[in-house]
Amino acid sequence: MNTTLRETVDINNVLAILNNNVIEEENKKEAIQAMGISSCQVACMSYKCCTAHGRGGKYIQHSFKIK
Amino acid sequence: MKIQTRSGNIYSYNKQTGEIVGGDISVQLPMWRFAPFVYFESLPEVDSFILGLTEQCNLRCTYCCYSGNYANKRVHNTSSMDSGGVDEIFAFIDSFASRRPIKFFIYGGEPLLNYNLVEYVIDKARKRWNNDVSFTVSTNGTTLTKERIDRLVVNNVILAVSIDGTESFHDRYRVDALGNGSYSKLYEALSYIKSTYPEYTKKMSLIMTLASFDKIAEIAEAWHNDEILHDMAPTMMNSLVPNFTQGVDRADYEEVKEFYNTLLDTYEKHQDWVVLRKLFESCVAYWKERPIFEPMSAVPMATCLPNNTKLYIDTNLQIGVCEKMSDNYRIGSIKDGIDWNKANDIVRNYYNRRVTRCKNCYAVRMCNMCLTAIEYTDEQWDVLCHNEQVYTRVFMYVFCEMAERGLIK
Repeated sequence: MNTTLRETVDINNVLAILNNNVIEEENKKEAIQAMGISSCQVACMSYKCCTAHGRGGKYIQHSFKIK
Repeated sequence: MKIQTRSGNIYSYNKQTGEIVGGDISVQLPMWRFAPFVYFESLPEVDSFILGLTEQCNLRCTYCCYSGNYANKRVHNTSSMDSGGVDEIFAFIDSFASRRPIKFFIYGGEPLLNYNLVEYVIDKARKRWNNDVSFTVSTNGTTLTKERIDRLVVNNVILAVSIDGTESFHDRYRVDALGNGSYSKLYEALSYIKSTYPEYTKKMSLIMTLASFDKIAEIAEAWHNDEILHDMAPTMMNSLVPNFTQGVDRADYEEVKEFYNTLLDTYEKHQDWVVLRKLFESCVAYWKERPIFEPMSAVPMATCLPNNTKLYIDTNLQIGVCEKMSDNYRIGSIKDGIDWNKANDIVRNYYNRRVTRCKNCYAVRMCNMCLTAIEYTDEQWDVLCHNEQVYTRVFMYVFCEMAERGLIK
């Protein structure tokens, strides 16, 4: 690994924030895997809906322009 | 996949484990192994029903997917349900769904154009299921009189109101057939709700469609300076439905990244602008909540069916997977129930297309592609996949940049 991280930010702290949802429990891993491991499915499992409560739905893309 | 933040730090994403690590790990990761499609004959999680009460609408929003400018979408018309249809739907739900409470999402067109039927649904459902039900009404807000608001609020009905920003932004797209803006009537309703039922405003939904995405910072500032809106964050921000009849751009990573970088600078200075706060929360939600572990065996391709919680029922009492699916892909009817062969054909087709496409994709765990994409050609999928990959990478960049700047709450 070529580590080029600068010391101006607390990298360990940043990496902890970036990886805050490590799944340890085997039954949880199985449940997530059974639904297809995607983040949208995890949101669906957590919030029981893919769109109605502000989770999921289409990514905010501004490439779908009105021309 | 790797990104470099403005501070010069490089972060890489390991698609196998889902982990973000410091530095460049440009190694060849193995292909995904997807499990074969499995035929299903039940939808055990369904507890939500989206009722397309009417296909009538008093507005002609220029970006509306029912405007006639979209392939495979219906156009505005006068078709509506009636009370007999609602009774049939309720009987179907009793026989089909065992989960409680039952959640109704009353949808259109503009459902409040058929206000008596909205009341009928609410009254009948409450009696039938002994209040073990909830209701959300999607509306453009233009026919929300004080009397209707009083009645809906007292009945604990959640209003999901479409608002695209303050007046000049909203009225650019959300117009009636004569081109007149719809903001003033909506704003009058919101003002009444806020002054009369201040606690209720925390429950209601504000749905923002980002038609003027390049103006989002201006929208956020104007929203912040509005005395009614400033502390009411949008609940959901939607981008436009891709419209291939008018062309869909292929996103460019550097261009999109720079746009978000500039926006992030604005947000860093104005963290109390609720529109930008919601925008960035939405951008990084999947990254923040992604499950980090390495699957030990082949995984099924993520699709909503058969784990979906909702079904859509249109004015002809045909059943769709959800309100966003093209009308050409119904999976049954209230009269005959779910056509399992048809439902499986649709999902299998989608499943197998994705298995072929996704096996080497770094964005597969973040991908937002869903069954609605079934209507697109392979060439159109190429564009959508490209954009999913670009935005997955841009939002990883935004996530890392926000973490470094202390903006992840």
